[in-house]
Amino acid sequence: METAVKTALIIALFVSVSLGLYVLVDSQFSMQMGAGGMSPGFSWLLQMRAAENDGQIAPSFEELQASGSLPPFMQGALPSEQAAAGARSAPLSQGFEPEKIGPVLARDLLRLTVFMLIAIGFEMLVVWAMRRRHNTLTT
Amino acid sequence: MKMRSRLVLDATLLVLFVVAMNTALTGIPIHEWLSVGVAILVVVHLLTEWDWTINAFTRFFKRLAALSRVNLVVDTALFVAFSLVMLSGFLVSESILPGLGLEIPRGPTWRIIHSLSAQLGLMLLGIHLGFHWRWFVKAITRAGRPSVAREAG
Repeated sequence: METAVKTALIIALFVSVSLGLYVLVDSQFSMQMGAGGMSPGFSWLLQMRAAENDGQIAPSFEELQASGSLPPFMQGALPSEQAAAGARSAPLSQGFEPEKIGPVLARDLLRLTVFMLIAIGFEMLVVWAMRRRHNTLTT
Repeated sequence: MKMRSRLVLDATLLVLFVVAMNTALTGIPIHEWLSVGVAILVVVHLLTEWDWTINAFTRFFKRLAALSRVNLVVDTALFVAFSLVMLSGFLVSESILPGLGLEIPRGPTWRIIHSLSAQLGLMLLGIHLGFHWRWFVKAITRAGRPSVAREAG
């Protein structure tokens, strides 16, 4: 019973945080054009995407296709029955790219390790400083 | 929960998270289902840390060790980043939601946010793991040691 209540509270917190984030993203990072062009939040997102994506900003054909917002001149590129089908689950192999597995895994593990080492270093430094202060006070 | 069980849970969570992040390895549909599994394990992980979290939050502005305070800030940021990853993943879902017959217009904003928040989550996860390295060393050492019951047998 107690576990069920805790689980419900965690899920409620997750839903509340998600709703808050949705409102924040929708208001600050939307692609909608403002008076002076695109919103500052969206242009920042594009810069971040470029930094993450080897300078490439434009979405790939697959991304455009998945977003359902193909520009009119590309609409005919879709097979007619696929276009008419609407919501359809992605095939199991979609997104599977064997040549990218190694580099992506190496990049993620490197990031994880670097930040882990930074935290370990910081923690050791704080513990060392606390022990030093404690020793100074007791002697 | 016993230390060994928590170690197994946390190690499974870490491996699943890293594998789920690599869509080139899993493909989109498996990535989405693995992420649902990660979300369930995160809830279980939070349940195991419930007492510490409540205790730290109630003492945050009173008496709390500096390191525990930093730890709580990192954990909160990790929870927010994870919520953003799950929310944006839900909004750009190409397998689970369409499989249920639901169609959500997927704009580029959420796609970019999904990718960036996952990277942010990975960095915060690294910091979270780093702050708990003493616990990991203790748990691994204990797990490798034969138990009293086994020694008696």
